[in-house]
Amino acid sequence: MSNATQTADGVAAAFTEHFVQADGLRIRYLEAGQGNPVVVLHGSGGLTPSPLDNLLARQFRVIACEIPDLSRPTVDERSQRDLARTLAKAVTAMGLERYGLVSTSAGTPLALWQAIEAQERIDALVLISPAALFPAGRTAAGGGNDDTELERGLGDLRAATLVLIGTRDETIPPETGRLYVERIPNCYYVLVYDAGQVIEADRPEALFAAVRDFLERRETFVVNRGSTVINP
Amino acid sequence: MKASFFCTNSYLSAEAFRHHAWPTPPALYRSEVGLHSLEVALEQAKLAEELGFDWVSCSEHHYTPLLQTPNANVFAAALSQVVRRARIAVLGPLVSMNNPVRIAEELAMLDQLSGGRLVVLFLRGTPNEFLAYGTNPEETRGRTQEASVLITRALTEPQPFGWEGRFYRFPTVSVWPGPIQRPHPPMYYSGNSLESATFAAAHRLGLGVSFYPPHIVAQMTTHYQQECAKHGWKPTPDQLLYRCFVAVGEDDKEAEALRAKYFVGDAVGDLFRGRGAAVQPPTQTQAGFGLGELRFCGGPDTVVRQITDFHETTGVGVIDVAFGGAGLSLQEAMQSMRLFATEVLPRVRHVGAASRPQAAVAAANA
Repeated sequence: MSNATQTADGVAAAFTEHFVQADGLRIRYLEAGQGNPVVVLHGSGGLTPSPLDNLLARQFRVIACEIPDLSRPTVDERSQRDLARTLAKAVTAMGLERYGLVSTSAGTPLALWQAIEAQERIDALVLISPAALFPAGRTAAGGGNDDTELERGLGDLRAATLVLIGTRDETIPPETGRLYVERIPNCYYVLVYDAGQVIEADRPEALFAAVRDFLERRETFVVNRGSTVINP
Repeated sequence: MKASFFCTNSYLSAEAFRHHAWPTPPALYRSEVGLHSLEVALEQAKLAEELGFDWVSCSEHHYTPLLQTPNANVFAAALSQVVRRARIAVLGPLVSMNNPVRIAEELAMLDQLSGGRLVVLFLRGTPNEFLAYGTNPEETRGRTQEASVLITRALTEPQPFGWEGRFYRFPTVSVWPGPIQRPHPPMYYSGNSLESATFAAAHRLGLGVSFYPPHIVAQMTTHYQQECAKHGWKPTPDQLLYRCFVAVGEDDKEAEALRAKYFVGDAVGDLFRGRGAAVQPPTQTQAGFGLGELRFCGGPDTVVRQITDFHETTGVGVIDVAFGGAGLSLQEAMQSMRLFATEVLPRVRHVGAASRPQAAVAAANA
């Protein structure tokens, strides 16, 4: 099946639908593009190629995975961790050894568990509007709480990690980014100005620029390689 | 009512003001006059504190002898070392056309240099000034808004962070030293349009209006207070700031004589001649903007009445006043300043005090 959607500039990527078996689950995923592989775990919005997926597909091989159990009303800590393992097996079944891992909002715990448990396979980890840690007194939308076991595991996470939060995000306030920086050894956080929780809806190009830069260059994304020459 | 002395650091020679266009050529600058002007400005700042002004302020302006403070933060650093108790108010840096991270760093340094006395207003700038660094005038509102949010974040964020903006991209921001005042120094936003007042309210910034007549200032402050209520907070009178020109004489007749020569020629209008004419003023400043008007003028009784009425109309709790138009002698400007401080200020102190939180009143009276 072909599933073409458009980016803000009207360019569409042709995503094709596939299924893979892991731990007895039939996992659906969409794939488009060529280049280094990037696995995208979507949040509660479900599996539809997003503006970011389309932009990433211009230079990466994008595999957008459906998270089978995310819609369950309660997901305990163990099932989150188990599900992360299942998704890692699914990615193995797709034939991927190393890849960049990108998650949005509710997909964050799964991405973090996968990055903790499959350190050697993750090139770079990108957490967009992450819903895993919350400032004191706040909890996840929908009533989820901080995952203590997951939080303890963050100190072992070795992948270069980028956290992106919109400055107008009222659910995940911008200062949440520092919680990840304080717990993950190699973590950076970037504020996307004038974006709410759905950054790719408000500022898709800005989000893409940051994610692309980090997937390509990891820690060295902090170096400006853009030319500032006006007229050579 | 609190009072801020607007220390303009004007160039004290008429010669430079005979070039009736912007910019003023550097050829007209004489170093001995410039040095003398700076010494006088710093003496005025010291005197303002002795006379009981609450703040001493400065403001970024470019390529003109009217206000020789192209980097207000540099001038504020000097002020912080001669003014020992009053607040140092940078009203403000032109955040539309500077590196906002650099501004944040300088503000933090100023708060340190002043021992936690800094006040800052995020200013967009007058249209001619956008030419100074080649900034696109059409982008200045957006740049001012984004820079204000970024500067605030840079002064409060305890971990290094990156910024992916519309106008600014900084992969690494980590300001050191940090400000003395926590979470940050008092901050204001230029409020010369309803849109700006809306922005200030949404970001919990104070509002600084300049030069407009009272009924327009009231439109801004009323709109601002309504917007603040929408966002669940109520500004204090101290968060409503107004900048203007003042002349106080021994009586109304003497003040009127000052009014007649306050601005030599049209020194303020000259900012918009020459290259300055190439930029259209922002639309929101075309109707009723009072740049170059003398707002409070008269003998002490008259000015007390004017300021009291002004507060009742606008709710403003801090006035930032300049005493010298380019047409006044230094002696005339200083005499006006002394009269304001000794004959007017004590009689308007109580104005607006009832609206202040008790702790703030106690601190103000300490």
